[in-house]
Amino acid sequence: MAMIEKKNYWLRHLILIICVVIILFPLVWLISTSIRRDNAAFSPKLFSSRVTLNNYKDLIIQKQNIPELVNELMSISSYIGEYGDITIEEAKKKSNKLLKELETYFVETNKNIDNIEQLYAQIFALYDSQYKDQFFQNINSLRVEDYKNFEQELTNLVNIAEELGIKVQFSNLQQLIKQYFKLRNTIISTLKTSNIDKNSAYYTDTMNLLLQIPINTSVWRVKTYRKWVSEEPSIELIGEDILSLGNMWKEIENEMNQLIENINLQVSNLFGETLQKISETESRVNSLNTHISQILSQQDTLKSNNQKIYTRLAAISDVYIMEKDRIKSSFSILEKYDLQNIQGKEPLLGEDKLFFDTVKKLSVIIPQVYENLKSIDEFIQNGFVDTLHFYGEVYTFLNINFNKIYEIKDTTAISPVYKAIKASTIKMSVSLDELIPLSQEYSENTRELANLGTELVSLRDEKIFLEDQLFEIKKEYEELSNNISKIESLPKLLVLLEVSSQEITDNLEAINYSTLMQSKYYPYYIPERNKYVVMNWYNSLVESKNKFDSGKEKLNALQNSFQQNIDIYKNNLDHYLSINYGGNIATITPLSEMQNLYNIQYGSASADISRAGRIVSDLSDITSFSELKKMLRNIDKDLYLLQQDWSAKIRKPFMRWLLNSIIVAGIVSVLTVFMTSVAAYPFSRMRFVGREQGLYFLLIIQMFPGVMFMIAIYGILKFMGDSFGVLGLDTITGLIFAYMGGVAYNMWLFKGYYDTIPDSLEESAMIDGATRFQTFWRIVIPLSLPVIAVVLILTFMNTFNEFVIARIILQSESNYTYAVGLQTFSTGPYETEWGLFTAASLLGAVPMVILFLSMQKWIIGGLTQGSVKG
Amino acid sequence: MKVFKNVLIWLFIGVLNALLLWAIILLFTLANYGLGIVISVFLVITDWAIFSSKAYPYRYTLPALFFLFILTIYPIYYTIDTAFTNYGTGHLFTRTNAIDTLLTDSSYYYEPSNPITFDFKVFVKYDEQYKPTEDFILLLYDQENIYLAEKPMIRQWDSKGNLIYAESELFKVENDMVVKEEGTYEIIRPSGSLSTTGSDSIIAVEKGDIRYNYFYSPSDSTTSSNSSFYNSVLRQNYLKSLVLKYEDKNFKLSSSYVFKKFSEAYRVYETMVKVLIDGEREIYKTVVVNTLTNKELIEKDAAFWDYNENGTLYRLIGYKDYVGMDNFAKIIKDPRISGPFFKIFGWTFVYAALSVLLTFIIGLAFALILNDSRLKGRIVYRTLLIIPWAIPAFISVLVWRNGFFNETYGVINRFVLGNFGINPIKWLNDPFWAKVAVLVVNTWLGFPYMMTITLGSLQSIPEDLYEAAVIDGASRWKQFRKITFPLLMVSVAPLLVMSFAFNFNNFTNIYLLTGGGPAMAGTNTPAGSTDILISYVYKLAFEGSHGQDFGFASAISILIFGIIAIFSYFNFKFSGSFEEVSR
Repeated sequence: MAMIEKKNYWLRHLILIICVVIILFPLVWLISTSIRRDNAAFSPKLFSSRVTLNNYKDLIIQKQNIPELVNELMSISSYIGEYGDITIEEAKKKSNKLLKELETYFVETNKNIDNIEQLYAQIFALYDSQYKDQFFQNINSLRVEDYKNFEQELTNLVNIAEELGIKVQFSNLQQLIKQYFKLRNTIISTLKTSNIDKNSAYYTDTMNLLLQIPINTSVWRVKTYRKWVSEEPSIELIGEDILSLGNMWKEIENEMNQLIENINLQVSNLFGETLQKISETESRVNSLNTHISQILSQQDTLKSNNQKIYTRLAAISDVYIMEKDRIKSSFSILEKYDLQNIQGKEPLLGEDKLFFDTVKKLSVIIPQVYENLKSIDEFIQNGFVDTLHFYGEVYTFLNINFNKIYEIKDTTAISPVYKAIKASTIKMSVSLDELIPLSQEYSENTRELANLGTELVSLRDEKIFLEDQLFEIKKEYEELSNNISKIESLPKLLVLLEVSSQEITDNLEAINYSTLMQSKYYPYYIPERNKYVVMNWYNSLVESKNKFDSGKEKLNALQNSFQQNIDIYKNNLDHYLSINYGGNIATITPLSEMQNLYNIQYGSASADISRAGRIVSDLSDITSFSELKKMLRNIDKDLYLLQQDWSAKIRKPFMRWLLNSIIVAGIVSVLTVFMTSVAAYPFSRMRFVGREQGLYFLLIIQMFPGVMFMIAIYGILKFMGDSFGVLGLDTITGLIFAYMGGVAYNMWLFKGYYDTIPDSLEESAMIDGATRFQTFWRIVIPLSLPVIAVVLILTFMNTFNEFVIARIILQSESNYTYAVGLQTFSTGPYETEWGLFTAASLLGAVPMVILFLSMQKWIIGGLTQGSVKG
Repeated sequence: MKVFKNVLIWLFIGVLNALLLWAIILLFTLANYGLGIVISVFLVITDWAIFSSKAYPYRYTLPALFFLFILTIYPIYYTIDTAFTNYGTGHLFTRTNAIDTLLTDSSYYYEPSNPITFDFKVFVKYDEQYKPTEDFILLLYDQENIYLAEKPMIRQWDSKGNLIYAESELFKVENDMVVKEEGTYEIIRPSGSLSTTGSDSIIAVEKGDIRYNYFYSPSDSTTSSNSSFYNSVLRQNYLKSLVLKYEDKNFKLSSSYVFKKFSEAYRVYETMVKVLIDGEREIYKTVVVNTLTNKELIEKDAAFWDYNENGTLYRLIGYKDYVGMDNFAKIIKDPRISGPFFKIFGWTFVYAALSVLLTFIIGLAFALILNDSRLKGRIVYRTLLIIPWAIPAFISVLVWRNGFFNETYGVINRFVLGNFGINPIKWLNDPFWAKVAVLVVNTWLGFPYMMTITLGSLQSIPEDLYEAAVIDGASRWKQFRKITFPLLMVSVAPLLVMSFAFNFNNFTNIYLLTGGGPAMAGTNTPAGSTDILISYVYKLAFEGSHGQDFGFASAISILIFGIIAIFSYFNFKFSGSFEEVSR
């Protein structure tokens, strides 16, 4: 039994731990982002190792840095803003203080820069003395790995070629390549061992040229060689060697091309068939497509013709169908009549003759029309076909028996019938002539459409079949063509193979190696992104040092001009301060000069420094040597501090917000406790008019959040501010006033608690002579400390977290509470300063969390009281 | 001692009554009858409570009552009242205020063609430290004459403290002097100057021993260093809306001359009292007349309308007016409003219900796992799991919005989904996913509360029940269904209802996370796909990109009242709170 339970607990622990990690992840993210140096939004890493507490410092202490000091000096000397009313003496004192701070900053900057210089020197020295070999070891092991891969790849390619039946003769090419590299190495070593100046641009240019693949000497010859040879004639020999190297490469390229042509020839011999088949199928598919669209357009024409005929026929059919009932009833009478013994005569003139002729015609036409239309759905549906069938019977009968009927046409029984049928028939005779041709054409069209339809279906089926076939073939061919292009790049692979067999001994070679490998020279080799960073390590370090140097120069220049201007300003401080005193605004040149220079020059200096910092931090991540890593980190830190001193910052009155929130929450909670503890007493202890209604009312009010009264409260505060000048909008007192409305819930808490205190204590006190109020004050209140604590804490927390009403009422930034102010940090997706924002959030959240957790029991008790019974 | 206390108490009562009476009178003069009545009722109750011994209990409740009246009862009345008006953008002022604006606002002045214009110079008195004060003199001049104006004594402000009207008289300067009762103003020119025109150099104007030094003139660039004081103090507080009167002409700073000259200007609109006969009574009505065309302004749709040069009507200014049930009817009749409204209405219910459901399920699950006293570290787990509730909601929601749900940089899109190869989701811009996001955040914030209360009530279920069930052979699931769940619901049900009501009105989460969500198309109100009723009301009232509509917002508030009242009724029935009242 025990064993099973233990196992369950492990599962529970596991689930709980996973859940806790997921749920608390936002908190963890909050903490980690607030201490990051970089802007977390743009970093590819979720957590960063570059940490700083500066975000917190910027919120809490808000120490002014250099540009802010300059701006403040400017404000003092112009007597604007908060310095509108100070005397000259005060202005002088303040300015001197600020100037001193500026100077401290300059000293600090200098120290920082020296530090960084030192670190750089150290790291370079370390590298040269200790780590260089290790680095090159790593680099070369990478290279050897590459070599093995390329060898493998080569064998693969050769195998594939064999399978496909293509012969590739590359031994010649390989020889040429080897010779090329031999010559190149000779030239390089000659250059290295000669006493040419290794730092000159010509030297580096030439080395880079030599290490490049493919090599192109024409530009180099014009740009570098000509000038160099005129300065140092000893180069000439080497130069000629280099040029012949260039020629050798051209030979190699020729050989490569020949090889490729050869391959292509073989390919077209072997695989020309497949290609042909593909193009045949494609053209068959195309012709099918044309045929199909032809059919479709034929169908369309037929359909539109039919549509016209249909309209006409439908009109006729309407007439015919309309007469059906009349003819039907007439016919049934005629049918039953006994016609046997009648002689019959023929009509000779007039309507009757017409009638007779029409009947004759109809008896011929209608059956034909019926034949034409009997299988056509539209006419079956509207009953025309049935009508025609019926009429066929009728008119055949009439035709046969016409004479007889004609004779008896005036008898009482037959006369109405005869007249009716005559009238109907004459009506129908109007469109007789077109019936047959129309119906014939219609039925022919329909038949043709059906035929076309079946043809279309079969064409489409064929097309789909062919397309599938094509797809299959193309797929096979794709693989084949892939392999073919791979084989065609075999020459380039040979080059890479040879390159990777050459030992790398200095950084220039390393850089060129990594550039070549990442350049897709051989298009099927794509290394992973950071594979060759170690090769660029030294170069990146140099680049960062260069950026730092250029930034440092700019910064130094800026600092120097600042220093000059400050000296001028300091010397003439009295004079400047008295010029502007008295409403004058003259520009103080040294200060405005500093502002200008800052605006113009600091940007590029800062860009250089931050670039250097970024490079260094990336390097520190990939370096595996801990000593170097540490130094890089230090450089990064110092660069960051440098920027913090100089860069303009976003300032918000954060501490003021926190203070506002605490003041408001504190005052509101204390006042509310006072008010509600006193107000709830009579509801619990006394009976009076309006007690029950009041309690009901309080119950209902509990449920309406203050947010719904916001419009009215806004109006009240506006009114009070305009008319009384106190408790207006945008004041803290106004906000406190607005929060005092939350009495209902608290009164219930107090009342509930008072109900649990027995009356007897108070009664005995009153017998002894205390007034009601004294019993309340001296007995009940001390006994209610628990609920007082609960209400105090709950109200404090709720007021602290409330932001809707605060947002409506407070309008100027310095009056915001913490809740409203926090939102100003995140005005948009790109403008959020995540470091500041998360630090600000934590500063507010942590105290509240601690408060909450330590008062858990009381808070939960207060919230559930009144609902959980027993 | 007792006498002292009594005196103090009577003093207090006296002061209280006086203050309240003053407030009431002020309110009635400002036509704020609602608040006036509410405070009057309060005053009556207060006095009754103080002076009648039967009303002894009320004395305890007075402070709370005061705030209750002002901050709860009055707003209810106000909301109900506003719901029947058209209070909002375009109808912000009362009719009286609107008329006032027409009479005093500078855009309603016109310049006659070929107006008389003057250049001017400002002369300012300095204090002991040679800083300029607000005591000044204006000299207006043209080719021939100079006129002098003193600082305006008559000034009017609007409710924000902006100057809307100021008036002063112009006096003609003869022989460089203006003689008045209280003293003579003399113009001081540089020594040896023989000119008498205004455009030449004048050093100062003196009256007795008060000297006004030449300070600023817009046409004189040598005084430009004083322009900031002129603009920010003198012009803002005096010259902006100054009307200078001379004989029957008025002069103001002219916009046609970029406020560098004074020019003739007259009001376009004046009021007139009209007599209307209504049945047998005579009613006097104030109407506004356009002085240029002598036509009365037309009032319709709670606004003043006038004819412009082409003869078409255009709207001048609106005022607040009663519109009856229009606002409520709008909800049903206007398709552009009713469509979004019902959608928002539906979503509010769905959102509240889903929130309660999800938080309850998750909270219950955790409570069941943690309910075992043999589980080690359950207090640690419980404390850790409460943290989402402990962090102030507005902080968490902002963190979620910026750090997690941000489309491009948010953690979820970049790291979580990236790892699974799913495409980034446009969280807050897609109506569906915004709703998902809102529910996720609300669940995260709310489940600790549910967990805590279910834990509490789980612990109050006696163990014997379970033992008996085990003996009878019931499975764990059956135990849960038949024992745990029913007993749980007895105590938790009212809290669930309360939680529903809370989420129904949970403005913070929605507003901070999505601001109401991606906007719904085809509506002219700021409705969004994740808006709940209360955030919709807020946006209508306070974020008037389409114009603020307090009237309509109040109407919807009343509807929310009604719904919440129904819920509260059921909640209190469940929790037996009604019995507590009668105790």
